Amino acid sequence: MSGNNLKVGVQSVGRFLSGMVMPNIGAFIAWGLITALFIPTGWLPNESLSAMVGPMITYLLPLLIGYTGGKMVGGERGAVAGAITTMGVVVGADIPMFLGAMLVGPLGGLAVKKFDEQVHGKIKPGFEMLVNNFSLGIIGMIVAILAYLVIGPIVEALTTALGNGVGAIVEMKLLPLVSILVEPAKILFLNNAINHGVFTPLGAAESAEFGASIFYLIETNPGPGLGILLAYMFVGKGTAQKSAYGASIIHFFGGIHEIYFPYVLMKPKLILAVIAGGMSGVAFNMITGNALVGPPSPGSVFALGLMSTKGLGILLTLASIAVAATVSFLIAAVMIRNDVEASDDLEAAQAAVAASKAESKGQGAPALSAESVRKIVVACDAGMGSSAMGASVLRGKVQEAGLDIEVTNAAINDLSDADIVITQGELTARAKAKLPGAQHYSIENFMDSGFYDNLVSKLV
Amino acid sequence: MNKSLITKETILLDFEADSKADAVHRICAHLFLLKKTQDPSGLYRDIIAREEVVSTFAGTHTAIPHTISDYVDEPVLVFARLKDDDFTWNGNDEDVRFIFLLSAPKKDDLKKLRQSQSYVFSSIAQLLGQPKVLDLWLTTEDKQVVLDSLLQAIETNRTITI
Repeated sequence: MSGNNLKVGVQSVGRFLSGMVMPNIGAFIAWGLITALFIPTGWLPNESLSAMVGPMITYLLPLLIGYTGGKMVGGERGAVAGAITTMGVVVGADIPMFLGAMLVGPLGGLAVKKFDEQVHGKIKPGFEMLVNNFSLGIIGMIVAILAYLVIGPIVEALTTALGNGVGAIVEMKLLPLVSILVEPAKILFLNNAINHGVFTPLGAAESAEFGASIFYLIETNPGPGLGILLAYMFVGKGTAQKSAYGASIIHFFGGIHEIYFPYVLMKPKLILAVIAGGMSGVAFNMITGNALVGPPSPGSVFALGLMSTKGLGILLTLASIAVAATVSFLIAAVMIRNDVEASDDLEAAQAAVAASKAESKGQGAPALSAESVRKIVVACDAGMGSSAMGASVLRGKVQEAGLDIEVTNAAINDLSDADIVITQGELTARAKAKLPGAQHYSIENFMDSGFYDNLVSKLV
Repeated sequence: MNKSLITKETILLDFEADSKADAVHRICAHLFLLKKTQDPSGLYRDIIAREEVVSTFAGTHTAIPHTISDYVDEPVLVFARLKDDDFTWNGNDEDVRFIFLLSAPKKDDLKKLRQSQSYVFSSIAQLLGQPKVLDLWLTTEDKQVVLDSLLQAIETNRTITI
């Protein structure tokens, strides 16, 4: 793989992961608000309401991620399979399984998609619902068991290894270097595992002896994430830029760091910015001797302030956040501004995922050919009238030309998988928004034989 | 196939209308008389709402208004051959000679419903591509001839595509 291909590959994987999280940011915010408000150290401690915190982070959020991941690969049926599969990694783990969900959700969707491709057109009339429901159930069960037995332990082992790596760096007294492991681990949603599994016990031991510990200030410093969000706000564009304002508030004041992870996943090289920011913050605290008296939870500026040592402590803590944020911001801003290849727009990110899928199949370029097109969808608003007529005409022409291309019709809202989408001009924008990775063509009316002849001639 | 999807009663030869709205109004009223809808106004609104998204003029002098509606109890297809060719379905389209109006009741699984109704217009598209059939539809005075041509194509497509 060439360097450029590697870069594109990393970006595509990052965007794919980000695409699973971004639609569910609202759920993260809901969980974050409930956590910030109602946990025992929250603003309005409430034992009953805080009971939601655990199940939401253990079940709801991973299931949503798995559902979305399955949907990105296998449409509505893939989404359900993704959720079923995610349960396999969730139930066997002691840590919130975000990374596991990002791995197995798409896997469930892929399994159902492959099955659907195999049986397409082979189900006898009247048996569609039976086959659809049972196939989904059986495939979901099998992949969930696979996830439980294989993927879950792998993710747990990865988490343990990262924790051991962090512990080793700490023992070698090279504390700033710990950010090289901690910041990427955070981006993969292993933040709580690292923080509560490694730093909190170390911090508890140290603070018992000295009254405060720097370990409380490593993973919890909101500075690196704040720098990323500020960079998007100032030099980003598109949806990412617009949503960064709200995300920064949730992150910085609410202490819900998960909010900024998708912004790094969108441009994986920004990991360098958060590592540098994290290292700067840790180095600042080492030099000044700053520490916290207890673990700040959640990692908001307020919690960190409250846990600061008396006297100059709060100023030093705020300064360490500012240092980390400034370093992270400066590096991220340069990277985002110089990034001429990729748009920040989330829709473009999704398109890139689809493009990378095509590339992985050896298709790549947008030039039309029979090899690069396996499915054409004629789409309209209702999905049963105009598009059915258009698909019928085009299907006949594709068959006449001897092309092995599937031609179907669909409602625009049901578009989930296609290499080419044909819509009436008024509806093309909607179709593009729904399926940005496909090539889109506008047609005046669906019985326009000349249009189809022209399309088929390009494919032959 | 639902036997009542299209019958001789829903085939209208020498249908008189002077605009899209007039044509849809008259067809809805006809469906009310046939007890296919209890609320022709509601059905009319649903069909026009779909038209406002994008015109259903399909070329070949044919319009295919269609909607998923609460105001029908079972799928129904109407064939109307216009007596005169003095109006267009939308803007500068060619004049309309045939109208195929399809309405199906709402169900929980909309995607499934759309798929199950797609074969109707697939069949019509195939028939529109056959000059002999178009000639037949333009000239016949026998509803049974139109009905047979549609039933045969619909039945063939239903078993192939569903």
